[in-house]
Amino acid sequence: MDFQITPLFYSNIFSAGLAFSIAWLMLRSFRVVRRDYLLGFPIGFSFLALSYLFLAVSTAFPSVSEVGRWSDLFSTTYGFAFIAGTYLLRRRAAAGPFSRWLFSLAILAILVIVLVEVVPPLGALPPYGVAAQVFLIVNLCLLSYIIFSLNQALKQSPHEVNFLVQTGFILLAFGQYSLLVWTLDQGFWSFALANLFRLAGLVGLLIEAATAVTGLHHG
Amino acid sequence: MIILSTARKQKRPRPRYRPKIFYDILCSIIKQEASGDIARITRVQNEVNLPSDRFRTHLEDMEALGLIKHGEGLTSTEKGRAFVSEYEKVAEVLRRFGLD
Repeated sequence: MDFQITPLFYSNIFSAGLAFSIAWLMLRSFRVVRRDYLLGFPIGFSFLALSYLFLAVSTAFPSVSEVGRWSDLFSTTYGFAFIAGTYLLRRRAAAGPFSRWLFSLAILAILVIVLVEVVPPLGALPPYGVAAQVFLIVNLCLLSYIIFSLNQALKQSPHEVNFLVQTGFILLAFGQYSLLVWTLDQGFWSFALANLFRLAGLVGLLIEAATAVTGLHHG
Repeated sequence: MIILSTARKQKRPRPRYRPKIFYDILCSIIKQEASGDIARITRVQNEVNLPSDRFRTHLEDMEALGLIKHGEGLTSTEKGRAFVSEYEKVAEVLRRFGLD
């Protein structure tokens, strides 16, 4: 496998910029509305942005490639977990004590998965490929929950919830799926598509958030 | 027992959060100002549908934050109108993301 490093590096940096921008817009929303559960969104997108930065670092500096790739796995899963947690709390009567318990349990479950993966009996790291597959499957489950929640919201208020937001998350899920395929076939196209889907998804989400904040309308 | 469980199953409206209440109060004031009237406390209170004690507390908080002025009637300030504009943008983002 011999991918061009420069486009990959810039693709990751660009993705990090997009994710940080979405996180900033969502933080702005949280500061105005002040609902606890909304904090999961900026935290989640910040984790995603960090994961893309870790990937960029691991691409540019082969000496820290191992640390960067492992950090990417953790932060991506945490990112999607916080975003999914936001939808979970929103669905469960806006952050009552029950929802907080569920949210804490979800975080705990992810922690357990992470610990089981990272601390095997002999204290050695499992093979990266195996760990990546587990994390990617967890990410796909979390993204499925996000898409399901958006679908429910779209059914309840079809004129309010935007289709592009759902498409954005679907593209992110395709990106994770392509990465999962890549861990199996190590092919160029699965990797390239994973990056393209991720970029397209983030661009879609940012367009939605930015046009709403600036009061502009697209299409 | 059946009645109780049915009542429990019925969807209760979500409680309004403080920023949403501030937004509703300001909208009511701005609407009355736009029609050339003085925004009367009782009319605003009826429109936002809050008990008197809670409504007064919110008015005091809003005045302390510089969102409204409380004189003969209620008047919105520049900061209050800016808050309404910002809240509407944010609410739009949340609606689009299915988080409202």
